[in-house]
Amino acid sequence: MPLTLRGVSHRYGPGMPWVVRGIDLDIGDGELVALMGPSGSGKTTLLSILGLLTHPAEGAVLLDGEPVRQRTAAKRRTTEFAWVFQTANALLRRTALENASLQLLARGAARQSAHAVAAAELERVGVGHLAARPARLLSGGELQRVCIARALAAAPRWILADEPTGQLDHATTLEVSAALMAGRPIGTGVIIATHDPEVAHRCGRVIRLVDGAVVAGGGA
Amino acid sequence: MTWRLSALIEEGIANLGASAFRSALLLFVSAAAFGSLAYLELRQGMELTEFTRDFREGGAYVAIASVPGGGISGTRCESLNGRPGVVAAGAWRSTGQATFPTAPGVLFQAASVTPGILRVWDPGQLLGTGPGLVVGPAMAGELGLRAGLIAAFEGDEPVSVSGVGDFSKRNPQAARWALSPVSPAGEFDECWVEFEPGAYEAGRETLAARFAESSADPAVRPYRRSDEFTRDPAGEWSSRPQKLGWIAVPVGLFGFGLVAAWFRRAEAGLYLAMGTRRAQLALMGASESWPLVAAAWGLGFSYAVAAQFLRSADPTVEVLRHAAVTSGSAALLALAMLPWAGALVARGSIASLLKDR
Repeated sequence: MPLTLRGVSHRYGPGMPWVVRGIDLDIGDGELVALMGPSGSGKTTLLSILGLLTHPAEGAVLLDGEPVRQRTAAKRRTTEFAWVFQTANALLRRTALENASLQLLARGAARQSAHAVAAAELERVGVGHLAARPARLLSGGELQRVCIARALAAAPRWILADEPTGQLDHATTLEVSAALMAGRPIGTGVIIATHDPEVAHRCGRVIRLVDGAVVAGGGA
Repeated sequence: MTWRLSALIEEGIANLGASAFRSALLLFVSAAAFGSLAYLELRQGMELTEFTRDFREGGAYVAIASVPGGGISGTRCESLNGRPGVVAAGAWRSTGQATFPTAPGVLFQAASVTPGILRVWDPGQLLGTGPGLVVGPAMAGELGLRAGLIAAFEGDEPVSVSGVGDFSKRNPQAARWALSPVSPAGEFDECWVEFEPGAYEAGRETLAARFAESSADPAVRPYRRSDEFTRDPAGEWSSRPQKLGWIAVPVGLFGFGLVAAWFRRAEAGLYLAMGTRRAQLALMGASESWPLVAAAWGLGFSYAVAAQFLRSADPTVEVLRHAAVTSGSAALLALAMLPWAGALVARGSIASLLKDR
């Protein structure tokens, strides 16, 4: 399988409790996967491991069957993944367009072509008219759409979303999750950590975590 | 599949422009630091330069060779001119007291001098190049003499006055002397030698030996006693605290840069999450900090020079060079250090950085 975890466990230092334990997971290209579980169940940590932000203390992450090593993780992060975070991480003093272009620039695109693609994605997620506005002046929902446009513009293999609608109202949640899932390029998978059953319902597969272990939806 | 170099540089510059307040604050702090360092160098450099000039003009590096009862060789004394480390050397001998018909009853000291001694006693002007008398300023004032006039000792032939010396710093008692330049052949009362500062101690020690062959028991004494000067300009300059400013200032600015980077951890985390490497983050930091540091050094140094011009004497080229080198070295070290502030703060877990807002 394209994205695989084998025997992955993680804790944030010796003597600390294990946050995720003994996880085996296979995720295919283009899959829509929801990670569900109560707070503290290890969703964010598992997502960080899947997206190569965190190197697991034990076990291995494999991409197309090849184990990912720490020194090659940055390169694979650029080419394979894009992120949408709960807190809508963005460069708040830069414009929406500049923010939406970032991932493309990190992939080596020229600024002009990155801006052209990013502008189209901003239009697609419904915030094209805000392209020139500094990110700090956008509402939470608008900023989250800019972050989704940033992820979509890069056409990655997987978009990893960590509770992207956690701080949004119901109507905005539906709009944002639709923009993320329905608007994704063909072949791009989405792995989304969420508490919202409605968002999870839109995904083809739901993985449930309890105390750092997969209790349903795994399947190595 | 990573950042283009041009895109990284543009990204840094865009971040610089996007945060006008932060950039202006960094510019102001850096300019103040570089400017203060340059100003301290200029101020102390000029103060010591002026003191050293007064010190030297006061005869600090002048030695006097003499023989008890007189009899020092004028030829040997004049032959010191042109030797390494010797600024000027010349001899004089008293020829008694004299009166002038225009001031009957007033005694003046008459002396024969070799040309070199006039350069030791009055380094500010060329005297004694002609055959006429050189008179001291007090004598010139009392008798109304000036260069080009004719004067005559009582009972002697008239001679022209070739100049009025300013002996106030090197030999003030010669203010009422009438000096007749003569050939260095023969014996004189004293030989005065001015050395370069770096050659003074060694020159003074070997001076007696130069006269030992032709004179019995020559003695050498400094014109100024060493305890007349309580300051050591060279020592003060080499132990000045701001000498280490080229390290202290960039270290301080780096600390400031770390604080600024600390408040941008989430930004660093975002770049890293997209696959930006820490070295690329440093390069982005360089394109953000280098224009600031360069502008800050230019502003700070210009301000320091302007302040020094307004405060006192115009700084010499040498002092300006010192100030530019010290503050410029600080700026260069800051250029090397500041780009790493962001990369250093962004060490550790990317996931943790993203949570820091």
